[in-house]
Amino acid sequence: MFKKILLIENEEEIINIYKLGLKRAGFIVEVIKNGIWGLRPEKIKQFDIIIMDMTIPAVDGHSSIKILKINKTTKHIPLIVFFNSAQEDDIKRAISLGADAYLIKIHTTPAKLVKKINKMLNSRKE
Amino acid sequence: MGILKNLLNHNINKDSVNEKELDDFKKANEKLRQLDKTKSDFISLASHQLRTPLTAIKGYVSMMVDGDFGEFNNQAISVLKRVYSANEKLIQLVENLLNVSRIESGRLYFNFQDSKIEEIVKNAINELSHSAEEKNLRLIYKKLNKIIPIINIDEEKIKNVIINLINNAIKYTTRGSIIVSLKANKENVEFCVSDSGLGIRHEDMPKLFKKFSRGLGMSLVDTEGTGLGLYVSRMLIKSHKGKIWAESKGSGHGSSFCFTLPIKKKIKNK
Repeated sequence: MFKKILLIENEEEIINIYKLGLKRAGFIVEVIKNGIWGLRPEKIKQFDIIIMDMTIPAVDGHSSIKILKINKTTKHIPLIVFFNSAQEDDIKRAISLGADAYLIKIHTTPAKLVKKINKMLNSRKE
Repeated sequence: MGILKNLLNHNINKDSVNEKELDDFKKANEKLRQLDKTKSDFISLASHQLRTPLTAIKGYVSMMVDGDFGEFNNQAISVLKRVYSANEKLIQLVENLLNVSRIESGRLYFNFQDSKIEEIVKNAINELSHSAEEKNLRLIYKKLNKIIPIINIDEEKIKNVIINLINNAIKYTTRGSIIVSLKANKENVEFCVSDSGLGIRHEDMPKLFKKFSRGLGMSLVDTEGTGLGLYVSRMLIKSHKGKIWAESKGSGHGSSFCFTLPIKKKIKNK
């Protein structure tokens, strides 16, 4: 069965590349461009993995992580923080709030992200 | 700014200071401080703005090389790899500028975690192998101990240092090989990049790790660069409680750039 990925990102170019890359790797990808969705776990619970930028409009990334990792229906979903412009202390905070991994966009390619996702999904099966 | 500070202290110590002069010095000092902050803020903002388009180029080109948009002939693949390589150099430049700006404004943060440095080294070699191939240089990895222990480091920062050092070796070597090695003893992991390149004159050694010091004693060689790589590398290794140094038997005899990182020390994230 195809795995469903939620990509929370607002940069058009980044969305285009990663949506394409993830679809080609066999994932179903849904994109949301602002953080309001991040506060609605009932909609998030259908996804197998969440990839989230930290600088999304409307709600700050840290609050979204906190909500998703506290809620019973979403806390088990692996969450990858995918950022570029945030300071490194943001990563530390994101991890302390429950994010499962982080990737820096400028050092990542679609192939690298797919590898990371597969690794995380496989480790959950074990 | 340092000169002005010395002058200011000197005048105060001499007790011969004129009130107006002292006031002028203080105002000039403050103005310089503000200008320095504006410069750092500008570098930081410009670098951040450059990151998104560079990320997009990296993503698209890597997908083209991987065949996600159909098959390309060998010549096109070779050109795409060159574009990727050039983009990586720009990314490294932006990273160095950002790091300098953070170091100077005291906003350099770290994310220390237990890491396999060997994987970081192999990834860096992989990313830079095309740049070496373009110059017909052999990039060789040598693991000098069977086991390289896990160490507590900020992976991105150490990768930045490793890429800076290997990039430099590629830049200043016109033929032969570049050897990247890793070894460990009870206390440290040691990384070295040795090349058969232009070497370093004895008198240039003390200036190597200073800001904007580039291509010392090599003015006949046309090289690109900002002279920030070694400065940033020194600051990052220092933050890991490690040591960084260069060795060369002189101009024309190649050089080695090495750093050590402590194995047992856990450094607090800042």
